[in-house]
Amino acid sequence: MTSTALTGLTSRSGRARDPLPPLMLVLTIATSVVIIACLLTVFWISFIKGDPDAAHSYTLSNYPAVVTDARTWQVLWNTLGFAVSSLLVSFLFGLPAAWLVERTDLPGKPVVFTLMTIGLLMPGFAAAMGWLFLLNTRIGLVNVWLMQTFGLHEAPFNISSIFGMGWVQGLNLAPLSFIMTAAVFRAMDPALEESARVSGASSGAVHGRVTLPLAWPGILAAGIYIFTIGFAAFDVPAIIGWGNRIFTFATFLYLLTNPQDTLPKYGSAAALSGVLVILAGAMSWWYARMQQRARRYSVVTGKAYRPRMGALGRRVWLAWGFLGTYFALAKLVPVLTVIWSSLLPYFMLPGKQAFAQATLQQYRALPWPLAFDGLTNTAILMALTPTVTLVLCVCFSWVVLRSRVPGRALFDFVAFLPHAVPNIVFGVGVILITLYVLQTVVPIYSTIWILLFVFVIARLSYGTRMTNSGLIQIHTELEESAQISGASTAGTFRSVVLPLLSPTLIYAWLWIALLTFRELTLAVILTTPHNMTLPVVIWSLWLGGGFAQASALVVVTLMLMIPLVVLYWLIAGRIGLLSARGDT
Amino acid sequence: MRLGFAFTAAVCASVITALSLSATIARAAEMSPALKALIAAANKEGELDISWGTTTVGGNAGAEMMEQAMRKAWGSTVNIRYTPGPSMPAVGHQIATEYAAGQKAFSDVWFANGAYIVPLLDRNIFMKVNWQELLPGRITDREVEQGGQFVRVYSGMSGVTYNTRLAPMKPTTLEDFLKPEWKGKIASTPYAAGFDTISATDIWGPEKTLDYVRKLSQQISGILRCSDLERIASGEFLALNMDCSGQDAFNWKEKGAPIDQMIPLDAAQIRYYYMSVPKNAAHPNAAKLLIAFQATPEGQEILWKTDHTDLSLYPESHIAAKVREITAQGAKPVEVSTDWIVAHPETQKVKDEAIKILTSKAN
Repeated sequence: MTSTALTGLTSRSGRARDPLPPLMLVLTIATSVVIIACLLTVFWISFIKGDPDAAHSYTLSNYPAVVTDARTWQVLWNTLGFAVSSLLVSFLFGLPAAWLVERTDLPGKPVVFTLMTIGLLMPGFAAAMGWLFLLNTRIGLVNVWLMQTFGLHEAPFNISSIFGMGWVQGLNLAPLSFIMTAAVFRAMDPALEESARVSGASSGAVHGRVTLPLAWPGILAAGIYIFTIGFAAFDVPAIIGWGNRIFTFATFLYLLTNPQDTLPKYGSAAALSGVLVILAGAMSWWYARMQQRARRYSVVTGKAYRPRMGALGRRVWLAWGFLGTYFALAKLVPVLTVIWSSLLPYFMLPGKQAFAQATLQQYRALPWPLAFDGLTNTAILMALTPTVTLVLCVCFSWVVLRSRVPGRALFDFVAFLPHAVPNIVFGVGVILITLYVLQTVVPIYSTIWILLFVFVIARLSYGTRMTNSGLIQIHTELEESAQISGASTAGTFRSVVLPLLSPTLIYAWLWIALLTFRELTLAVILTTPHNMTLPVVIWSLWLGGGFAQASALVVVTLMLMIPLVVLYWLIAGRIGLLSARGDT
Repeated sequence: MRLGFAFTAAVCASVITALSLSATIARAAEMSPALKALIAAANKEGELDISWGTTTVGGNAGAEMMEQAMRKAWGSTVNIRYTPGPSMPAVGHQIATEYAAGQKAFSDVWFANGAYIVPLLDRNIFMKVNWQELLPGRITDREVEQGGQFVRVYSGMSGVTYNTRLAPMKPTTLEDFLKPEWKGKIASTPYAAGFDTISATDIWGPEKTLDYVRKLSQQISGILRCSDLERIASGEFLALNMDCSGQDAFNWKEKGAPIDQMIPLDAAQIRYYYMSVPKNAAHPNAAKLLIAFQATPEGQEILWKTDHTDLSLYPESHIAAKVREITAQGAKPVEVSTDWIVAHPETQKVKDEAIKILTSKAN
């Protein structure tokens, strides 16, 4: 869909220009400059020796030091293993679930959509804590039961391993692979499958020679996206891997900026970040190529053509057994384990002694003033982050899709950078900027505003994907009609575009708000006692050895999420985001 | 009748107030002029931010007790805001980074032992305070180090904390933990606690210590902070080799956990723990007040209640009995002060090397 002439930025009518489009352009440029400045700051610090304070000097030695440090290659190997494991596990559950929902007559599809979507919102560190108590080699509930039942000498499962961490992360990411691959199956033209069937092909042949070849670019794109997330993940490696000396890039970067033996090694951290940015950038480029390829296979005919749904018959019980197993493993069992841990002074296996000591003491002993401060900060960020993010995203999308500003595609690339670059790198960049560049001009270090700043940047890529796709669906004829009738650009935007875009904006606002609620990685890098969020309070309790208290606060956090998730479910259901194509 | 009751209640309230006031007046009379001035200045600040581990100095509960005790004893109106913090060295490094960047310190007080203090001495980021004039006779030159920058608050005896129910044997020496029975079941700390001290040339020496650490690295399966003893109590790890000060073990023992501490007689050490005020503290007077209170008998009693430790130099010290017990068994504990560490530079080099060894996963 091409943009038309009447954009307000290149007005042909000779009217005075509306302030809205220039304002949008200014905001877009300013935000882009900030994003690039964060990355350039990381790049600058990577050439500094010692502290980047007034007396610093420059050096090239940080890069060779990172490259020649054996730990860097061990960390790279760990990270690759972790990301691959996460991807495989997420596909193990997400792909079949997507198939069942989009291509079979499985009953109760909205329930699957709801649970999968809600599953994405559960904090990763909560599940990690639960799995640690389940599959620890010595005290894990499952291992101990298996060893006692079958007389084993060694625990059969070890969660404190690369694959163990990948298992937990993969379970957390399965809803994402479900949503992305369900979209792929939904976008495929079923006419091609129908033609194959009419020509006499069996179901297996149809799936193998028509469906999968059509779907694989989209599946591969989803795989790259999920791999990128796993590559940069912090919470699961921090909870499970840290104490077992298994470091991934994110936790190793955190260790470099919070070392035990010396002052923070910002130069090394920045140099390592540079390596990460290159790797993540390459993956993002590959992802974009796969997305383009995937779109070629999505032929939208406009006809109301329904695909033939595979009949499950008696296998429907198998299907629900599979889905039920996933939800139990991913959410129910870890949460129950965390609840159990929260009732004890220290983790114990269920038994007489444990039941005798189970109390609510950990809840009473929680640092409630601190938890309340954390909750207040989190609530403020939940309200402001999506609002500011979406205002900026609309600006970006407008400039990219509706204007004729030269080089506007670059803005789209810049908006995507926060996804391409691991969050923790942005966090390090922002902390360095606020400590050493902006501290006298914009003193936001140790305030909630630094968190808002970095949360907004981190969510830009997701928000712009949403506003881009929302704006693309609004035909420019509607805006042209309004402008021909004399409406200003601002008026057109307010009375035509905004109402049509509002379902997308509401959905994106809620989604970003919920992701803000569970955000740990960025907050941990930037936290001080003055700006702690609720997840960081939990992390601090965990890090300080208060596992039982951390578990208690996780339970409280999950309970607080319930009304938010219900609200999300009501709104998402209303705008049709919780149903498969076959249901409409 | 009602009037009589109200009158009686009013009289009682007045008596109680008068008694409290007289107690406060009496205490005020005992205070040095410097302390009175400090209390006034701290009350004007009104707040104090502190950050350390959840089981250090009693964590949140300890901070609340201190706040209440300071109110009662000195008429302090300072609100103490405690947040669970990272490890002692990490707190120190963050304070140093903030100082270099011209920012206020996130914690008004730094709590650490000498091993973490000495590397930061040349940064000159802690205030020099005349502590002796605040509590004359109580805080003496013995309790203050580095020209008034650091005050000894409590003593700890580093050893190995282990799970008594699951341990394959009752350990008596550090070498016991190199035996196959412990392999893969024990942890160490990410800051090589304890190993720096024993690497001094007049104890084990650097070579023997690093050799031991390399062998230990093959035995351990994880790294824990000294405050992570819940993971020993639960049996996730069977021992923490070495721990920091032993007080956490006694805290957990009191809760009924199967935990005990082994102090190696050939490597016994009394580690002093200090409090100090960063030059970039947001509430420096409130910080000084808290530190001064730690030195009082009431402050020391709170430390014993919350942390099972106090300063062995005071006459009423509980931990001094443990020192005497170890000494009677033939140990010659080294007093690890900042001056001692400065006089033994080899310990810092060994610490750095030991940290690298312990935090790298064994092949």
